[in-house]
Amino acid sequence: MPYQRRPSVEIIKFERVGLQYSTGQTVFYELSYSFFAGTFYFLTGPSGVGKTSLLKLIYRGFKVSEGKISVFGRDVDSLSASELPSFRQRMGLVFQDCRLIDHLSVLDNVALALKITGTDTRRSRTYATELLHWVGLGDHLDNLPLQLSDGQKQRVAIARAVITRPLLLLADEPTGNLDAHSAHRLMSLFEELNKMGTSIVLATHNQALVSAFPYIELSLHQGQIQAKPPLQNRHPRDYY
Amino acid sequence: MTITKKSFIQQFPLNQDVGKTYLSWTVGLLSVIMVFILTGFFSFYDPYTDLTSEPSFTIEIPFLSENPDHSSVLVERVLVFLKTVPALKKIEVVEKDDLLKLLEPWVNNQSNLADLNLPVFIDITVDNSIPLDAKLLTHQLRQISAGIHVEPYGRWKSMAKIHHRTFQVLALGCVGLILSIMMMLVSLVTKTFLMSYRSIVDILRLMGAKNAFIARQFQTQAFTGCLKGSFAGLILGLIMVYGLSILPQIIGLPILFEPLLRFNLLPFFLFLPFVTAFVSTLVSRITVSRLLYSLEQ
Repeated sequence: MPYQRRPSVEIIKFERVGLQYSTGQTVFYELSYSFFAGTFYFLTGPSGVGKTSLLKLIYRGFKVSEGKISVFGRDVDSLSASELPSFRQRMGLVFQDCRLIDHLSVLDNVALALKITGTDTRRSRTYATELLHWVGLGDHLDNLPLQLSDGQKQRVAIARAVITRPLLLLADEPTGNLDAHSAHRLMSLFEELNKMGTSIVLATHNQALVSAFPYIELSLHQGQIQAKPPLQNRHPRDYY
Repeated sequence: MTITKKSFIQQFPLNQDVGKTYLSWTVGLLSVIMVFILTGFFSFYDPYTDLTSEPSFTIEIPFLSENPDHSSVLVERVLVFLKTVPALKKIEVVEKDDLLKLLEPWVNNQSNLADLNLPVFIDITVDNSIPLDAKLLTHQLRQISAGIHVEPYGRWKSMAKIHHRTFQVLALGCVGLILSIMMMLVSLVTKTFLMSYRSIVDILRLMGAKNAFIARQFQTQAFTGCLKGSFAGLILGLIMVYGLSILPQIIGLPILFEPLLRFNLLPFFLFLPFVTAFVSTLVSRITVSRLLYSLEQ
């Protein structure tokens, strides 16, 4: 049955998940947690606690050592090689290092994401142009990523991640290299996306950023998730 | 900037990669070798077809140095006799000029050629439908003159057949070897491309690109690179073969090498670059798919 976006629907479900690196280090043990559709989550914890690993488990960058992860109602580990691309097309990924393609223009970096889903080049570029204007990069369409600042690169990466209207957005330390003002601008973009129905899991070790926004904080500690409800009366201006 | 003016998005910067040029040049060189082998193959094939048509013999009437006039009488008698044999379909006296032409390359002083006392050769072709007793024919001819020698072509034909088969197998083997080298080359270049742009491959996979999407640009590069290289090699090879065939006439050497370049073979040769390009595309696709599959595990 196709997945439908409803607030009470579990979009990601961890069931007694264990992850052990090939070095023998255990990252998660018996981890169980459910993420709901349309919700904004902060994933926090100090560096090395397993935030990136948890995100990788969701988009199957890693395979679980034990237990089961369901995303969009499908057991991630049971996905075949041919099913994996369409599975990943339903989610957007944003990384701290942006991972833009250096020889492509800003416009083509974003348009490529649509082209992968089968949209023709012309339409892909049209949509990408609109989106880049929305993220404030309308004047940089033909620039190469190397000609952009870190904040601008992150905005391109976000535009690339959301152009396909994904159900789920996974962002790994997207504000890691940014100053407070740029970080807030990116957070505004994420909030806009969330309002449009996209579920967001944003990994960060920036506690000040988390404290400034009224969203669920999932703190990783000793391989387990501790959920903290959002504090009331928070406002982004408290952050910067 | 004109980056966005292109009608397509090249996710891999293969056009700027020297590997593409290297592939075209190597395929071109291999195509030249393939043209040489195939031209040799076709040149050898045609004379053999003539040889295998019908059984034939050559009757050699030695030159009688003590009585030259008697030689021509002897030839007349042999011819009269041969006309009475019903199994003979064709009787043809080899002209002295033709013999001299055959000897030309091997004689240094051309003026001595005319003074040579040559035997007379009569080629006879046997009608397949009427049985001929070759031994009896030889016996009857030797009754006319003891020095007459009958040379059956059967032995030469069987030898020619063996040589022909050997050459055929070797030629096809060489063509197969060249195609294998081309396939290995395309596979190697594709793997090198793929590993060079591993970071882009990883990004595309995370964006949900299918293997076919990632492979497409490598396939296109393999196709165009091999098609260009193969066409260039074909044209160069044909020019070289033609040059070699007319060179002896230009510099006045005897014709020892005469490749048969005929227009009816042209479609076959023109087809070769497309076959090469198609095979390269397949190899490229398989290489990318296998490598991506192994990365996925």
